[in-house]
Amino acid sequence: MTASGAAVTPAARLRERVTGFVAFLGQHGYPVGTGAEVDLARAVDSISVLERRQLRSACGVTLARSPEELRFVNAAFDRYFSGSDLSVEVPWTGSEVASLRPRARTPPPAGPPPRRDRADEPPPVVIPLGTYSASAPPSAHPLDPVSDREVRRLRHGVRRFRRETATLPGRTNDPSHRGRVDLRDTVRQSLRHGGEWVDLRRRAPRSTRAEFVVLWDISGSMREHDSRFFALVHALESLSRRSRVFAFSTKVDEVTEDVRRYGYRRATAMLGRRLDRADGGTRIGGSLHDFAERYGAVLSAETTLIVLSDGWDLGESEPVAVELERLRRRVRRIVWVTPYTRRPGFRPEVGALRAALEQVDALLGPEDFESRWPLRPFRFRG
Amino acid sequence: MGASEPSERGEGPMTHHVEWTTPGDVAATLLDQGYLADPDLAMAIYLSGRLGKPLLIEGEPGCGKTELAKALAGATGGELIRLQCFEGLDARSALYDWDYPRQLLAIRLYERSESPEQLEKEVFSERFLLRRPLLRALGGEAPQRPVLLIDEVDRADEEFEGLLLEVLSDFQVTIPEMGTLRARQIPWVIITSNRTRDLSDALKRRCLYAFVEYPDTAKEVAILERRVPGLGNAFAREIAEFVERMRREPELAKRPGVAETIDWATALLALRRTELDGETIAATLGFLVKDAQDLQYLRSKSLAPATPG
Repeated sequence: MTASGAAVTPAARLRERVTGFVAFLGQHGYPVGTGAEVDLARAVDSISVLERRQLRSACGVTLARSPEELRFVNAAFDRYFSGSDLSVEVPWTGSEVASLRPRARTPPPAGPPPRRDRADEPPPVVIPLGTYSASAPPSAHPLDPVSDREVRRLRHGVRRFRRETATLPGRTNDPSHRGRVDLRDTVRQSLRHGGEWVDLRRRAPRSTRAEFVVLWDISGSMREHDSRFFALVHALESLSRRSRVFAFSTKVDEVTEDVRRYGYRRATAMLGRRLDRADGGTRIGGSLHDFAERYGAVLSAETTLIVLSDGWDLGESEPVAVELERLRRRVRRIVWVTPYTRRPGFRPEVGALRAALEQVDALLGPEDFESRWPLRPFRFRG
Repeated sequence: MGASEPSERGEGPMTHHVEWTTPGDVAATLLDQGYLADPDLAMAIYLSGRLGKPLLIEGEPGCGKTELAKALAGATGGELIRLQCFEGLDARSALYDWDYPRQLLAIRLYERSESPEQLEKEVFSERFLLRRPLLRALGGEAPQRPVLLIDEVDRADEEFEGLLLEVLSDFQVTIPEMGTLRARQIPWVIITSNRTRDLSDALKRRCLYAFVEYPDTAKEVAILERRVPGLGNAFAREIAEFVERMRREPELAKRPGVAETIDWATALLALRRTELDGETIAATLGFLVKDAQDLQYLRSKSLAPATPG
């Protein structure tokens, strides 16, 4: 609606709807940058908005940056534009469509149509990335930030952990006193001395660190450890340049972007809002299988796979061993972090943990990352 | 010398040669090239052309990401310029390099007749510049926009992504010794990734995005009929259904992609087979499955094709 109260043209109405859609995404924890918003407006300008399917595709192409985000944007689109069949509602002409132009951000107009928000009707495939179980209703997953001191200790411990994982020679070269002769630098150097080869410049391979892939159990049994484990997850992600984070309960989804995008405190708040925990229990074996199927490509011979879980599993324990054995063939090492290793009398006898023990290289507790002393794993192999 | 010194190249206007008016046109033209693009992918290509932005395509290996760039080059008539990424790829392999032996000869030749400043200007001129794929794509003189394929960017180091930023956002390259070279016409840019690592936000922000999945059986049958003429609909369906079964095998470390399906179908046709049987499958499985443990696992199982019903 315009401020002057004049009749709203279809083009202006669509512009409002698209801007409103962007704001709707932002309200649900999916901030859209100005560049992407401008791209979307230009895209809308270039397509036939009489076809809802094309508008949906254009939103996905311009606003998403990963398959998870694509699913998110499509689900949000279905929800936001539900009930508005554009092809029937808006008999636009080409000139009206061509008049659409991006405009500055405005406060969100009226939110999504309320038709599906009735309390008696369950919401459709909803927005949050972690809709883990179709059968178990999602519940809130609040995360409380731990103290700054604890964050610092965890980060310190993760740095130590990173040092203790292998350092590997890479194929990228850096200037060095040893290594092969670098003709480019040598010529540049020689030009400063009238073309005389004063000395040979050299380059040598840069060492690369192992990459981390973190599988974080967010099932109900881990609820009391969530905040502490998330601090550990954030430290692992932020201190390793090549790290990926996946959250699982009955299904697995990637949350790397959510962890990476913000500092620790903001990430805690944002992720707490976006994660949905399925209270239907954990199937660790099934989740590991799902992970290998969907995200197996992220694993390599340099990967350190870190599983953060208490091992409480409502599924069979045999699949856990089978899946870990499969994963083990594809990674450098597997480290399991459980919250109970430092409790008196701890024995890894929970079903999944016992099954996993044969396949993991180290069994650690979060305390190992907080201690100032070298890692004292309950079990360490290799 | 000086980074701020503008080059005469790039003074001309950037031009687009977009002839497609709808995403449907894109899909139809790609189909003529033997590439079946679904509506989302056709939209991504269409918008990439209209907005003049690079297109980042992710998906499992063998789903046709690279083929898309080839089909696009065929459809537009533009030159396909391919940059295969690998760990350690740097500006010298991707962007430009200097012809050092010729530079050294030139230094020896002119050192007595030229002043040092003149010598340096001479040595770092266009004459000694070796254009690598990225610079070639920007400097195209052909009437049609070239198609720049940056393949498997996730294999390259993160530093390489930084190198791409200037090229992809402004379509220009700054060479410290020569100035800034701007593209005469914006190339089509297709960047592919197998998602073995996460790409930087900065790179993703500069691109439109599409995700390619394994095709369903009907689409794969259509692909086979186009790419392997003479196969016949029934046999193509049998092959596609068998491949889909393989993709559902939980134990496989590497699932067969469309490229493997086409190779396998071509091999079966060369062997004059018209239907699948256990013996033929066992003998030709290497076309479909490229991992030793996977092969061993599959051979230990019954490989008979699924019976109807």
